[in-house]
Amino acid sequence: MVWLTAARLELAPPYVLPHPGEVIEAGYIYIFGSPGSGMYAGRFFTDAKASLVRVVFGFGIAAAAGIPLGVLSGRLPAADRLLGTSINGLRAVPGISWLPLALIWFGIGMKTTVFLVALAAFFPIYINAAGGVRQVNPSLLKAGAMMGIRRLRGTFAVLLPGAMPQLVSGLRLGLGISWAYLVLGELTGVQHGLGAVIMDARMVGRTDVIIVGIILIAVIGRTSDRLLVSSLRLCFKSARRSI
Amino acid sequence: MTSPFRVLSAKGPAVGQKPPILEINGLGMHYHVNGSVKPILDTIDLAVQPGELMCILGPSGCGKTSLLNVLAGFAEPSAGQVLAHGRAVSGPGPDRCMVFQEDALFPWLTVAENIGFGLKGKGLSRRGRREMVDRYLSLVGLSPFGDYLPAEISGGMKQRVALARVLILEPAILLMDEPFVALDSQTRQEMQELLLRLWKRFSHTIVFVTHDVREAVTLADRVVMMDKNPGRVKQVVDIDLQRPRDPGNNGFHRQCKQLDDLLRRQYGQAL
Repeated sequence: MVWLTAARLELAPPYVLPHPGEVIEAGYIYIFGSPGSGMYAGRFFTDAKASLVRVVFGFGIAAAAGIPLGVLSGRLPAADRLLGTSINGLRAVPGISWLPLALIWFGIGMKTTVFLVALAAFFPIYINAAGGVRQVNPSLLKAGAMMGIRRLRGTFAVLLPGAMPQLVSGLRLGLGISWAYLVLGELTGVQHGLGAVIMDARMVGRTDVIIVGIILIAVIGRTSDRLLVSSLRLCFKSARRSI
Repeated sequence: MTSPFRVLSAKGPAVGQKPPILEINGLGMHYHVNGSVKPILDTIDLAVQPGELMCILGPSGCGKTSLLNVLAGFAEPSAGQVLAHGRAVSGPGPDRCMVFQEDALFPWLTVAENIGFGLKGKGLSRRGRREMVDRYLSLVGLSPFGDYLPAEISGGMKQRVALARVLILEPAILLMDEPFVALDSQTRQEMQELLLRLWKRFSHTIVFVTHDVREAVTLADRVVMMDKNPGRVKQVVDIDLQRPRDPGNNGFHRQCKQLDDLLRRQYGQAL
């Protein structure tokens, strides 16, 4: 409503704040327009696919590293001393400051974005996994041990399910951050991707398309969060019954 | 070798014929706190006979739970050793199962899944497992509650599940760490009766830790009274009352009073 009124009264020039109608129209063309019929027509699916692949890879790497390392840190004091100090040191470095280094290492494009996403998503996943396994009721671990469950099986049968609520929190936070860093990575001038569209639109002064990009990232981010939670619930009893 | 236990057990009934199932020799334990050594247990010598129900009675902080943790293999003693079935205990195992004071069920598993947890990897068919779980569910009177989650049942029911999940492993020795302390007196009494019924049926050896004199007199063949700071065996008392025991009975009262007096004398010394 505020937006609508502001646009109607022309409180701000259209290149600062376009009319909602324009944004909706731009969004429609961006998503459903036939490719080639306009500047951004029909690009959505290519962009979304490109971005999604980057997020999935980056987030996947972060989860594959963050959960095992977090579990080690949470359970073994020696591993925690070794890992915890260095990881928490790295964590203090703002993600953006990795960008120049990533550009040198990986060049512009897929690898840099995946690297940034993985790096940013790693910390919440790692920290929550470590905190989660640390908080598992020691009696549960004792109970598992006395019922003849050895270490490795105990990890999967007792430790991880016991830490499930925190593991899920970490994964959700990590996925959220993934989308933020995706845009950062794509702002460096890749061809396709939702972040790339936003950057591109800024250069040609299409504020409406920028807003479309922001809204779409919000919607996809939210959807991916719901999807993550439901797939975890589908796969794990402990997720189904504790979150 | 003149510990009070050996003197007493010599005149105890039918004790000493079979080799003990659980032997505790010169057990000591201490923690390091801020550079100083805090003793927890001091030269404990005990022998538990097969099929015996032994209660360990003592004030809080006397190391009863630490002792039980050592028996279970969860903690390492600083001195002495524990022999189970004549072999040194070197870690937790399904032959010595513990029922914990607090709720230690897996909250993400249903009642039936909790009970069947220890059967995994034992080469049982799905059906065989299901049948066994059903049998133990009904044994502790929880047949209609197999599909409930621990969060959905009462404290007494949780301890029934805790009992069933270890009984299903057919442990020779049952270690119980004040398992009924959080229950209301009505439920506690029911649980004591249930435990005695199951004990009669399976005749496992039970080491039961409690600070409740009446509970000890209700359950035990022998009561080990513990002293605190550091925890040591103060005295071993045989409970010769006939089973089933009637808490309204004079003998029961006398026995309770005797133990109460012993405990009070202990506190008197501490003050």
